Amino acid sequence: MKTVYAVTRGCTKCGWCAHECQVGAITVDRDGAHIDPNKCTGCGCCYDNCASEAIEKRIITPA
Amino acid sequence: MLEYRREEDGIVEPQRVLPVESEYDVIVAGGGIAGVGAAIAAARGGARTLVIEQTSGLGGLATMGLVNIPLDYRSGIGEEMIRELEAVDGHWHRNSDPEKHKLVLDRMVRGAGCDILFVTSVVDAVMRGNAICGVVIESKSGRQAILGKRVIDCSGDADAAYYAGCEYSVGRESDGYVQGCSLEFRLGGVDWDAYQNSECKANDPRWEALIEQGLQAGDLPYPIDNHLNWMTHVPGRPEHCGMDEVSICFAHSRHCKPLEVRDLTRMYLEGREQCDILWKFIRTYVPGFGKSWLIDTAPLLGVRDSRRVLGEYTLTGFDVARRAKFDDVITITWRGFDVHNPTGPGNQKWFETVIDGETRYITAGLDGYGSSSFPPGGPDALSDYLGRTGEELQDERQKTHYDVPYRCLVPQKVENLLVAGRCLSADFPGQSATRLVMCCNAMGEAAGHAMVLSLKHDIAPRKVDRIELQRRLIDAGCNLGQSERAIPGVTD
Repeated sequence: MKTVYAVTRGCTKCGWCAHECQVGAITVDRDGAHIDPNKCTGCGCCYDNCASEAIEKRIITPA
Repeated sequence: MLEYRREEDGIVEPQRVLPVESEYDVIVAGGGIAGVGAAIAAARGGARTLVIEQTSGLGGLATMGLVNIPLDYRSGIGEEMIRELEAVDGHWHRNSDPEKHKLVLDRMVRGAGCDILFVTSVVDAVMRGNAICGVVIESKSGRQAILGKRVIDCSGDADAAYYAGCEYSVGRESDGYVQGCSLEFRLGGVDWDAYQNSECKANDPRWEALIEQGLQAGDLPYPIDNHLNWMTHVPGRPEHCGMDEVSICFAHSRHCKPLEVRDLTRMYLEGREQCDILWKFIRTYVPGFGKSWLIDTAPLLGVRDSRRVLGEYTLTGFDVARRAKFDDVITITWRGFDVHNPTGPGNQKWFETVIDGETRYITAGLDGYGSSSFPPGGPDALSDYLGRTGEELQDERQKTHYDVPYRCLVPQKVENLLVAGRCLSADFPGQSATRLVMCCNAMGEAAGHAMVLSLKHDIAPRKVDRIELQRRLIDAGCNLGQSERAIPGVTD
């Protein structure tokens, strides 16, 4: 079980999450922000700092 | 009773003696979010400080304007403010509770030993030669003077600097129009979870399809400005109970003249009419808002820019785009351009300029594609500061911040005066990027510290040693970007 975060709805492409992420797990392109679940450490920094509440917490269980 | 004499071109005001209400070391004109930073920093530095505010509470647009979204870096007094808000369950997701925020600021400013005057306007500057030495105020107590050794203009409109004779610019370089102004409103009884989990939030977060439906059905009288419908989810309400509160930045006035009272009045009237149309549309069309009600419209109109004082340095759009660093950095910021179209619908995260005879549309990064109003040629016409477009365009914001230099707070002509907040010395696009809540607060804090040093050494603010100021700011917990690069003479 691992906690990761994912951009799921209403991303405004502002990019602050990518700036705040300490492990470089977030990239922003024309479609919006994307979080690499393999790099995400689950710290929640992006979630706390997303003013649009576009980021969701997910519990993933390795296969 | 004074006798006014009528003349051809107006009324002659009789000469009178203004009572000196009080004397201070530092007068802060304007108790918005910049003024709060300035007042706390000055008062904690031992200066007898007064903050003069035209409304009935501190925080300006962040509280009275319902722009309860303290974006940008948390640092210094701003960091402390967010911690205080969190302690009263008044902050989450970079959104704040405007009511709790007001009280937090009252307590922080009074706790620093600073005096406050509410419902008071600064209507003139008292000068000694080219140095400001006080302000004239008007309030319920009439017209009075307050003398101060130093003045920090955090009025937003640069009122004190204007009366002191500073040079300034207003609006867009091409036509002088300022950004669209917004009257914000708050809705209660929102089922936030229902909205968050809706198709609408996932697929139509700007409500473009909904607005079209509203138009077709006749529920919207005209195509409302398709500004990103920025919503601020007010914290501290019971979570997941379907009774959330949100602030909404949706209403816009255009062709604004925020320095003219008749046009300000027009914008309040127009803003409230727009809010009435918009909240009813939202209640009918947006999932989760079906049982919502209008709590209030903001008591303070969201004026995004007006006077920009001409300082020793003018921060430019290119400085923002290239993420400029300055030796005399006093705060850092990260945001790109954010221009609410002055003369038409939409939001522009780019600015127009001419390079080598060719018109260019410069953006700070991929946020340019998040505009809702694009230049001719659409998104593909956007370029970064080096002219790269399309796939080649670089998002400089993802690499680093940029600096606000001390010189942007120092007016060219007038002594003993600093400016801070949205009236800083910047060009139109530069100002559009540096007007966020936390950046304005940090500029104010730097100005407060600078005045303490200016008083301590008995020198003009423009002569304050930037190294001593920067060391003081870093000691106070301010983020000057020192972890990312060496500041000459300070951290190298």
